Amino acid sequence: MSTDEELAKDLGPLAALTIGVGTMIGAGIFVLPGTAITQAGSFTIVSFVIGGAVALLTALAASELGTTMPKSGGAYCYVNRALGPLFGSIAGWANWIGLAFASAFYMVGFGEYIQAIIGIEGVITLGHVSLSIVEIVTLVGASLFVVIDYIGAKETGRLQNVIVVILVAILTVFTAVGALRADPANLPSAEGFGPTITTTGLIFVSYLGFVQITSVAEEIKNPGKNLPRAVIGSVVIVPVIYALVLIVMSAAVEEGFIAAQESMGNIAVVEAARSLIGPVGVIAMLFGGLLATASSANASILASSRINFAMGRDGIVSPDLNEIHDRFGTPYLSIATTGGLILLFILVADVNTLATMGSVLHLVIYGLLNLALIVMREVNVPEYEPTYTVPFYAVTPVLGALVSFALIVFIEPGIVLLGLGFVVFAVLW
Amino acid sequence: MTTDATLTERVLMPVASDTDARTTCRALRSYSPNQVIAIHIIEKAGGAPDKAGVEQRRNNAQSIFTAVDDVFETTKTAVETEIRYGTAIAQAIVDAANEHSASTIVFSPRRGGRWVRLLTGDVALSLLTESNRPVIVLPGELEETLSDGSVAASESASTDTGRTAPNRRGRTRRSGLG
Repeated sequence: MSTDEELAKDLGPLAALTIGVGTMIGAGIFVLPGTAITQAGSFTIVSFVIGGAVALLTALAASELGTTMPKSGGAYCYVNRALGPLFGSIAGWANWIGLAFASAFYMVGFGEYIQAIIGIEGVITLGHVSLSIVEIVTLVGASLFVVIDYIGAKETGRLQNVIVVILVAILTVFTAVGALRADPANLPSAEGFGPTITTTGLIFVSYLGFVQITSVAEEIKNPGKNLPRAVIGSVVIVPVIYALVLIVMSAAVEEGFIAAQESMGNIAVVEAARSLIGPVGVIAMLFGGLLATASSANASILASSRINFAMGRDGIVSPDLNEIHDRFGTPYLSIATTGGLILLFILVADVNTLATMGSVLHLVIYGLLNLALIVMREVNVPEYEPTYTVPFYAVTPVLGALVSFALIVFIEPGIVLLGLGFVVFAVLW
Repeated sequence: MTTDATLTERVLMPVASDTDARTTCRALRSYSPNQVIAIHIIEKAGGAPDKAGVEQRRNNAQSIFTAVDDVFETTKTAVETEIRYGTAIAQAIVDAANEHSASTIVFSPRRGGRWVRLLTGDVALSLLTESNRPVIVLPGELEETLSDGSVAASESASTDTGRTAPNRRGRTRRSGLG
């Protein structure tokens, strides 16, 4: 029935945009600026802009592919369709594990915010294992969000929309107040090309959200129109917000302030708000940080269960993983597995490794997405009729693929090797 | 038994899972309904991402319907199946019953403590209060212990007569609205 089909597709353009913006905004502003500014100085803004540009190139490709295959699973499906099961498998695993790393990263951010609020530090030793309070808080927080998705409260989805509005409001006030106090003389010195690119690899984790929109493509109203709008819209809005907040953040406080706060273990954006707005700013930022990291993690866990489903459909993972819970109606095994990975990653890796792993694995998918687009265009598949087409074809996807893979090369070799290990694992699987 | 015959003429049976489908169908089979419309409601968040993908839950619905068909395969009962979407499950069931002009809505309550009900929402209670048609509650897990289902029949009859007599169970008080 047509009315039923309409009911099944109930994500409007704004809701779809919110998925993208909500997933991205958490990390970029609330967790990373401190580390990034310490590493790259005022070129941090350049890092974020480069990251945004790379994301935008891929967002164009993802939009075109998305309008032809509005299916659950998104990016993985497009790569699988265009490049075959071998690359499909790589994209599927990279997307799933990449999201688990990213979620672990968001949760560490969440833990830092909780710790900043309750203000307890220390280490608890149980037998041979010693965990810092932050780690314990992070693990508890991550478990909580996994349980929420396991039970499947439908309210969380709607809450996400409210959260995004609150975040944008907080950041707007921060930027406006900061702009009045901004002085270009405060900008830290630039650190040159090398650190800037490495920093781009680190902060790229803040640009993962738009692919999550494609993973719920089958639920979007009129995907032919709304999918490209949401995907491209989110990749345009988010870098602009990042750039504005970062410029204000570094120009409105004295030079060296961010680095000093960072070395003291404080959260840069909260301390900047303290110096600009006072206690109210601190409360708003702490609250914002919690909401932002939580919503990013939540959206990523949901997206990964969609990817698991698509992988199960093609037999890459056991379809048993996608069994629906009798009572909760959720893909509980998939969520529990992803949850287990998140907890494991929190335990074994530090925050920068988590961010970079999330970035590298997603860059693999982004590169493949651009290649998928080229293949679909060149092979002349008869039923390939995108309602949105990438502008400046050939240049855009070729550049998109090149910069995605190039960025991987510039990231620390150790992490790249780890990422490569995953690719080999995916191929063998 | 004449009321039973009309009540089981065209039965709308919401099923939530494989287990639920098997339990309800086995309980319902002994009343030999003429027609069973099995529906599975896919819960939509109404403008936010769902807890599971639509295609995934459509597949799940097909497996539920297979369980329904298995139970009624050797009977004379005609079985129809339908997947529906709704943001509120109970309301979607009532709408389906109206659309299909069902003579009654039939379900077996699923086991679950206070916490599970709190977390998943009490669909059974909402269904009883929102329905404008007779709702028959079949004993689910008790089925095996009852040899002839007579207790179940009288229980359900008391729900149906809610429109003529003040009901002793407060939660069925609005069943007379239709």
